Amino acid sequence: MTDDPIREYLAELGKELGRFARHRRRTLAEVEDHLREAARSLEAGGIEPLAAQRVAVAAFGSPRQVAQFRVRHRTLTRGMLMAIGAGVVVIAASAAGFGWIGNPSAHHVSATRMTPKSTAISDPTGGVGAVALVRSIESGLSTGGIVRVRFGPPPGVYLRQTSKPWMYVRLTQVDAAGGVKPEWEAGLLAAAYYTQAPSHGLPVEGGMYVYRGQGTLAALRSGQGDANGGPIGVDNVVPVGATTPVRFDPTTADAADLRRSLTHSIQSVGLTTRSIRFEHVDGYLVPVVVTETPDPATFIRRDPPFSAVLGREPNGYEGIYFQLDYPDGQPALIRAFASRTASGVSYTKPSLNPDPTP
Amino acid sequence: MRSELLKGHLDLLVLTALRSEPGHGYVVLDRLRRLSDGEFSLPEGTIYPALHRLERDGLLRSHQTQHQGRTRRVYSLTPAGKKALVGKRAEWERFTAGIARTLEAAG
Repeated sequence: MTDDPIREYLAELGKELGRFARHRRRTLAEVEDHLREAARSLEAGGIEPLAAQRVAVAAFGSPRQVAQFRVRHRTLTRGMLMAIGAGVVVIAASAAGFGWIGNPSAHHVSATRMTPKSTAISDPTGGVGAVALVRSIESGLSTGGIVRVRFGPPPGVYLRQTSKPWMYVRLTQVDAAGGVKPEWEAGLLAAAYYTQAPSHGLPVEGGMYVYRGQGTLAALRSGQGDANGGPIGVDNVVPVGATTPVRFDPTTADAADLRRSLTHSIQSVGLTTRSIRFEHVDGYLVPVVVTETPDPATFIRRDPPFSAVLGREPNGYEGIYFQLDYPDGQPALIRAFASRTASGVSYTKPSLNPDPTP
Repeated sequence: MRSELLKGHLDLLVLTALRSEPGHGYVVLDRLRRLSDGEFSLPEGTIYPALHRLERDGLLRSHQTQHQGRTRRVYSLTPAGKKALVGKRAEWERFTAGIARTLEAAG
């Protein structure tokens, strides 16, 4: 690995393009301009230069793919155009339903109101445990797909977690050596998925969020980890409001206790419980909590933040889907959290969002 | 959206992205993302063969500029490209309308 991934990429692409000398120089110049522009844009978003280059390269596609596409495109274009008919049917199906499966507020939204929150990779340098692909909309959030990326042997296995109503994904860091993937590698993995998923029929929605955090259930149980089960000293994406770390094992949680505790906590912050139910995901008990208040804006801006309040729950943020609605059912805020295994999806109605940056 | 589907419509999309003003490849992709509200997100490396082919077919023309010490190739529609865009768009609208009518009639 060099300190100039773009230069390295261009060298590889040059080799692949060798047979097409006529366009070689021009293509390389254009690709370099593209990659440097993409990296510059990522840097402007706060990503460190080397990581920005790596993400830009990953998003472009492998040199072999790019070179092969040049060949295929010249010979298959007519065939592809003949496939328009099949395509439109799929597009129509997509517009009608894809991405809305399981959205608890799907009846509030329409395709024409979709506004992707972000198409940027917000944090490709995070110690990634998972990649969540979401499509946020003005009045709600849908889950076109949630992707679980599992590290460790076999390396780089992508597992698709099909659409779920609770936008939750849990990932156990399973690196055989007990290590953690380098941050840049995690970012690349995420970017590679984002780039490649469509060609494999996997969903890629309007935004991608890569969250920081890591840990193992074993570390939690053995007391080696921090409150989220992650290695001590490592940032986890999920804030822990409790001053005294509370250890919670979601695989043995008692739903009745959890319901009582959540109900009490929700009441204590002035919210009305609409529903609490539980889902079992990979052996974990995941509370799916829907609440309401006539004044979400006040709640979102409350001090201490609601995250600190819910963080005092016995379960902390160990896997919870939390939704806050207006009384008419319009969602104002959605949070899906997981700690220790690092995942999270969030949505705040844009007009209420005190911090609009992803 | 599946990229294979997008590739089938790449000509129309690229021509549309360049309709209002010239741009280089990165800008074309960025416009496609924005114009489609993020729906169209192609593997980035696929855009250049399409641009080159459209230029070879006379629908685009390009010129080189210098940008921060790098060579940048900027594409724009030719008169033939503008005409092709109108035709492709009308063809697309007829086609989608036909599909919609069919689906509607089938209930």
